Amino acid sequence: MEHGTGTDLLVESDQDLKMSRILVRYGELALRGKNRGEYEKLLALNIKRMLADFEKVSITRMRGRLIIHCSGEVSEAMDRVCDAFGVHSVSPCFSVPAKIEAIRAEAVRLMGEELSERSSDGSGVTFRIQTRRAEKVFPMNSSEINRDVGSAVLDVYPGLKVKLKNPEIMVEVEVRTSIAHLYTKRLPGPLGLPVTSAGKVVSLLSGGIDSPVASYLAMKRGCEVVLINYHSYPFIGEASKEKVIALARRLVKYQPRIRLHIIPFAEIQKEVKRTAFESYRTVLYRRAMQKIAGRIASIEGALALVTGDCLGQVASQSLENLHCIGSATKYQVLRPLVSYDKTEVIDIARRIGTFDTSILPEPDCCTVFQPRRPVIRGVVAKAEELEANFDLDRLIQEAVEQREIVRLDCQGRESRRMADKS
Amino acid sequence: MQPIYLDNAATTQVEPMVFEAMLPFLSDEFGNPSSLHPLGVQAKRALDRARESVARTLGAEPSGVIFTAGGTEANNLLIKGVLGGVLGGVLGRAGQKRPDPGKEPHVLSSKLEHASVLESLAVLGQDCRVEWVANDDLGMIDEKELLSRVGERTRLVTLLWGNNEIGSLQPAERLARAIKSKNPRTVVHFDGVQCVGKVPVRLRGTDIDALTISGHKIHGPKGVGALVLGRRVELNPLLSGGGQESGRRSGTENVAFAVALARAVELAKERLSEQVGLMARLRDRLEAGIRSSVSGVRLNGDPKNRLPHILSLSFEGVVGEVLLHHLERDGVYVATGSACSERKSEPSHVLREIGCDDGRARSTLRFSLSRRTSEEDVERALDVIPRVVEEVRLVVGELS
Repeated sequence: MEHGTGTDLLVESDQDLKMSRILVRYGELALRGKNRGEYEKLLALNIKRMLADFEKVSITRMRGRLIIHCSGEVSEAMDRVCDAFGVHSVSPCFSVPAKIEAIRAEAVRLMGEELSERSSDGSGVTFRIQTRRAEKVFPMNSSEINRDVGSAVLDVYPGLKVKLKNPEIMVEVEVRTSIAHLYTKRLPGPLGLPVTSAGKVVSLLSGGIDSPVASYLAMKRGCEVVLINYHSYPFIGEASKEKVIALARRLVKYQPRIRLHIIPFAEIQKEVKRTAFESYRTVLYRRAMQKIAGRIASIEGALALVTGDCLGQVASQSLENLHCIGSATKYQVLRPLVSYDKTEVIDIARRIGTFDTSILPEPDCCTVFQPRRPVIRGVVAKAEELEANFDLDRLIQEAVEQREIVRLDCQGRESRRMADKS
Repeated sequence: MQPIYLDNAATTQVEPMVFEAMLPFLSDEFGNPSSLHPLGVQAKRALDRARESVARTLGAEPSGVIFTAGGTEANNLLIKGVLGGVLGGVLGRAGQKRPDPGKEPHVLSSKLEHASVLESLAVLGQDCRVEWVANDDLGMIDEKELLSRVGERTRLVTLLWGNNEIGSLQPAERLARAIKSKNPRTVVHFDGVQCVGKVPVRLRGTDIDALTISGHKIHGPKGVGALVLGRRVELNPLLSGGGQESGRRSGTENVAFAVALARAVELAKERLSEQVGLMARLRDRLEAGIRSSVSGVRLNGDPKNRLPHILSLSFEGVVGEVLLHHLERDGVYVATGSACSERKSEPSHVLREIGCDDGRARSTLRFSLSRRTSEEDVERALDVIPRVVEEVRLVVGELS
């Protein structure tokens, strides 16, 4: 990979001109000062991993953008880059020698493609040419190039109309020292910050709709997400575990490598059921989950937990309960969905491809010994008192030791193993 | 230790002899039966022999055997094919006139049917008059009611011969004879997917017109079955195409699986007399062993008229699925309702129809044997089951 030099790659050979190029604009990270280089490197690394199965991928940094060179199916590569957090927009980019004749011809060709997509001969369609010159060595200035290329396009498609503000088709031309890049399309990226740039978090993944979306949103803000799931075998079956792994498989699209820790949870639930009164069960399960997630956070070197909690979504998701549950851990608990309505969460879940898996009718551990009336206003002191009635620390230790770790990557590789006891 | 597999009503292990029989057609003898060169001719010969074998074993003519992708397709083909014949094609008949009210074809079936029958009839519901024959709490069809409803316009009677969830076994031959004596033109169809290899199944000499069979329930592969016709039944095909299977099931024939199905049916019949007594004895041993050591157990289905390999029991106070996973942990694999309905949140329609309330339906497990189930398997299962039921009841306590 070539990045970090901050200079244009000099492209001269015909071979290089035949490679597909994708221009990537960053979002928010372009605003960063000193750290910008780090963010760019992470973005480039993430994209490189997403495109690991493409041949000859190289990524060049160019004045606040990345240019991806690759051979293979460019539209597939574009789709993937459009899922990389930190990307503002993506354009397929066509490169020609920095000669006005070549630029004119390429602009006419691109206009032809645009019009044929619209089944139009150009009549009444508005357009403009927008040129930028990086190096000012080109013999014409930007507005001269605009006019020259614009009239070449008009010669071929006389029905077109020039419109400077909000044209239907904008042909952008970037003139470098020896090469010019042209593009007409901009596909929106997912915004956010490059995954891993913010550090690591442990995200509690159930089989439901919310937690995959919460994990996704944590990734969006640059977190490297480690997933954790609680599996109450043999009260629920292997199929529930498969469902959670399937959800992780959906998320690997946005974070190229993911680890999922699956924690055996039945023994804790049995003890809670045996010793505590019914209404506190859910709160105690969730406090135990937070404590275990904290253990995993310290093993993983993560700095926060992420949950799919949404204030008031169900009666037991009260502020009191969030407090009572959150106080079981010293880690920050990030709750990206706290203010979302269910329908908004569902919209995101559909968009990111987790919804169809989430609604598969597999039970999760929360259905085990579900209380008929869970407590609405859990009290920390009460929860702690109930936890003192059994050896929670030992059960947590055992659960952590007996966890299974699933590793997934965006190329479809997957491995499972039991945690090493140490 | 090998798990004890007691879920043979869901599917069975492929018999080595069946596996071997199909192998050549997945390697050297790969021809398309429609091809004119020797490879094609060989494939055609293998397919014809498979067809003849199925026909011979089940007492039908080779021309009556239609290979399908399984029991579901066979049921769909029969129901939609027969009623589509009346209606002039089930699909794509937009603009055609509906039959006049009162003159729709009349169909009789029961609420105990497999989903492929219930759903097929639901699709046709607007254009035919479907009546559901009542059943008792043992899962037996009310014969009197059935016969009283067979009339002039009764085009089709379709019933499950042996129930896949509770094992209740209908007197198919007697019902067919009685139906035919009321209306000889009525098509009588039985879904015999669970019956082949478990009870004598023959079309010749009976009044049964059509029979559904499936490969993977009788130690054959999944993805193959057949609709076997005992006499000429006018069928509208479901699939449009090259006209294979005498125009009734287009698509290049699955030679390897047809050969496998034929072998599986042959073996099922060969071993019927020697194995079925044993299977029933093991089933009885399992039932008695569980009932003598576990309290609060109730049998679902008919204790007399039943398939030899299916045992449906409700365990008071436990959730079937929780019990299932605890048994699986200790190496005993069983089912809750039927494999196809296990993932629905609704309890089984069959259990509801025989009068189980939701609690009882949810506390039900199905144990199903095959001719590969040994006495040792049953004894080992009996070591596990009472202990596990007790464990689950203890943990679950008052919450069920």
